[in-house]
Amino acid sequence: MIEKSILQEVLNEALKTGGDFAEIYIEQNDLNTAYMTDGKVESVLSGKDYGAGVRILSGFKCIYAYTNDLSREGLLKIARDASYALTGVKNVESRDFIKLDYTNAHPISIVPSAVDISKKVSKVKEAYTIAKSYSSEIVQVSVRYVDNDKKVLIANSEGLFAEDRRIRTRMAIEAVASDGNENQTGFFGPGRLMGFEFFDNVDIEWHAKEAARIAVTMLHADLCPSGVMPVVIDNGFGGVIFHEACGHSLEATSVAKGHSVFSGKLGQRIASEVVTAIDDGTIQNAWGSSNIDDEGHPTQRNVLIENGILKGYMIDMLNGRRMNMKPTGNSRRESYKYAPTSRMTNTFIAKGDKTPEEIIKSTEYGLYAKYMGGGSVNPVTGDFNFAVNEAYLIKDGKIDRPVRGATLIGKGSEVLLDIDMVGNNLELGQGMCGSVSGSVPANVGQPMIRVKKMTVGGRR
Amino acid sequence: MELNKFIEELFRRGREEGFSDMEVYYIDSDSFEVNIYNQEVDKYNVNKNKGISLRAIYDGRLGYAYSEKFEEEDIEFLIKNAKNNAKETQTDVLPEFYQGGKYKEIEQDVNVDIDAKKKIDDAMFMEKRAKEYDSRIDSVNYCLVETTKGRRKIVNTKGLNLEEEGGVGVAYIAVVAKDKDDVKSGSSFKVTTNYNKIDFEKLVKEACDEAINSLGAESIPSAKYKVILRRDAAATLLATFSSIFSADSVQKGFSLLKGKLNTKIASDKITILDDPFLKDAPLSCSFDDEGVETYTKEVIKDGVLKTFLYDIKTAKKDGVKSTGNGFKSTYKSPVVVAPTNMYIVKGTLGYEEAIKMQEKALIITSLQGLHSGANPVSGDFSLAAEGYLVEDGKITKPVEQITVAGNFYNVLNEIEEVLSDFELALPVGLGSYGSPSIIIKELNVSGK
Repeated sequence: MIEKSILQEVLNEALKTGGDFAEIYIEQNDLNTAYMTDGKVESVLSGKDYGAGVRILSGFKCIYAYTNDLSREGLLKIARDASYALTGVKNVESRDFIKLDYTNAHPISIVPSAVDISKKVSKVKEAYTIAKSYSSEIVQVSVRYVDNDKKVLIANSEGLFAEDRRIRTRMAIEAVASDGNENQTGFFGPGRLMGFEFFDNVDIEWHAKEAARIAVTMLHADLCPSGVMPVVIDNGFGGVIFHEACGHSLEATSVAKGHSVFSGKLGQRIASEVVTAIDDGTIQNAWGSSNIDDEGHPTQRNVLIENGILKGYMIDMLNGRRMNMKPTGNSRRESYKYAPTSRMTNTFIAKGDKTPEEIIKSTEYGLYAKYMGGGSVNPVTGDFNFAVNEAYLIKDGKIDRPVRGATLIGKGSEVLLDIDMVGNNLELGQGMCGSVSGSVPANVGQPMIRVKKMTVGGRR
Repeated sequence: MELNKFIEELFRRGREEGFSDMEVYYIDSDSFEVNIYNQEVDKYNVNKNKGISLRAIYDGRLGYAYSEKFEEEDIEFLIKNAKNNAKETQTDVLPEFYQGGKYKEIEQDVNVDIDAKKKIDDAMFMEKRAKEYDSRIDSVNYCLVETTKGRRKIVNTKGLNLEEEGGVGVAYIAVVAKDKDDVKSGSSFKVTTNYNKIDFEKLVKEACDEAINSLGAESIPSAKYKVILRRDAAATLLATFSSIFSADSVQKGFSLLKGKLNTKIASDKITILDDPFLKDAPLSCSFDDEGVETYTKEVIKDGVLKTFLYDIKTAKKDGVKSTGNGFKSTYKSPVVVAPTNMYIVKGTLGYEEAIKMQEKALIITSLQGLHSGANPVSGDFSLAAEGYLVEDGKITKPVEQITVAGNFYNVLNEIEEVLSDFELALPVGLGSYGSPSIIIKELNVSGK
């Protein structure tokens, strides 16, 4: 994208005032979206993001500047602007680049630019029609398609020079069911680190029908009762609970400064012994994967919790300095507009030995959360909340009637200890995770799990 | 390429390609952010951003494309994609661009040209004061000051050529209070067009008080409670459900307000404005992102629904005029219907006085999980909440680990009192929202 000699010039400019490390990140992202709702393809949009960010570290200090002007002068200017934040003199020279060599672990067979927009739009129409025709109670459907082809280049003053190309495709389907007075929604949003072959790998018909089925089921559901009860959370996107309530607290961003409840607890029991949790940025073509992270380190498989014992954190370079620990290939950013920091990739609870049937059968009374919605967490206190998109009561070891409007709340550190059963049906679910370095694609995941007791907030 | 030349060339090429009309939307901004940690600069950001998007009408349909590059080849990229994309869209109203109208100037004290040194000092001051505030303040986990200056330009082939400049200053502090094993957080912020109006001392006090006052919080028994929804929590609830006032949601059946114009949908005490001329509000503007002039309107007056919010397209569908509410979240996004500054108009009763009048009530200071636990389509919500219990006119204890559930449409009707402590909250998504504290007859609370 840009000559190496210019990159060296920029890094040296950035180091001029005493920084001990400088990095440049260059990104070009080609993007296409199509949105259909109310029976019409409402918008089709294409765009090109193009920018660069310069980061300077000086001890624990992080200085960042970005621009869309990728000329030599434009890049030198942001390097200079950033360097003004320090007042020392140059003590480090940028080293010669050594290109990071790796084999692409995520083969792409059909790049988005090779496919006509009309073909993409016809996939949108297909999904729309399937969801809409599911039932006469489905009054509205919206389908969003997005693909992006992101090329990144990372070079730093320690001689690292790395490039990656990440192609992702996603389709999100939302269905609304109504009986005239009440509306209920169902949602499914599968995504992969893939090109147009996404549609050969993901069964869109099934997902569209599921979105519609959830909406219709919830339309006929009673209000969820409130109270403290056992909760069985099903596989796939159910893993959002671990992601929000525990995953964020295992990111160096919150661990390094001691703000996390899990700071300083390596080697200690933080979860019940049936819980093993992993963050793995290497899973082939998975939504949250990439060859390298956004500071140029190869992604890796990191065991976070093993049989309930805290084994590791997700660490970026800067926080690694504070923690005196090595980066783990977890440094990510939404775009050149953000300095990278430790983030989750594909994070999941590993599979256990119980069948889903066993788990339900051994639960006398409780809530079965089939599909989870989103949630949020206070990283300081660990307080979390999640919406349940599709829920049922469990009575006498059997799944009973559907209930709507349920919310699960609790504290991350407590819920981990309260997981008493882990199923054998691990699956991943896709989401966009928002945090300090922007919104990044991330997989959540788990097999079916049971939490002994949780506060269920309902409207009854 | 120089901007005006780029636009000129883009329009020339576009006409050659057969576009009937074109419109460009251009943004550039300069921003600065500093974060302080342990009395040192922790993060320091200086950024320059610009981007352009093209909306173009081809064969009666609208296509979009955007770029952050301004080279010759990018003109071709924009033209080619806008044309291909236009061919794929479907519409029942012919797209149209605006020729221009009468614009009212916004009266704003914009002042964000502040020396970097002063901003660093201010952030340092906040952190220092927070640490000294109380021995139970254990750490300051966020302490930042940010300023952004920007320019927005809209030019179309109908002769429209508008430009507006703006600025925003933000200060934010989040603290952690600790008492033995009990850990609580508190935060406070100010968003304003006038940096000099930020009262750093006040932000420190608010954040620290919130954290300290929540120490020892417990859950409360599940029951129906009378609720005082504090102004910031009320604003976030309004923000979450504001889409029900959008004509787009109404037309698509995503709002249950369809057919309810000029009928009573809320308590008499409720008047909601969409006010693009609110002073010191960063989102105040004299035209929307389609170039339509903005104006202040009553969305709800004394409980009666007076208007929906419209952009050009939805207005055309309903045979009315755009209300100047067509906005883009960035140059990368399509135009959607969104409010400017939407807020509940304040009443006369003070917050402290109102507390004294309650025999038993629950003050809710924050609601979490609004993006997932609230459904704007049905109006249902079930949200994690924190706050205080009021007994015999006094706050008796902090409350946590509860959820409140209800339905927004019902809540609108069950508002008993609107207090006088109005404040604008942090902008969310496209709009900016505000509210005074409100008293709700009862909400379901799920606790222990």
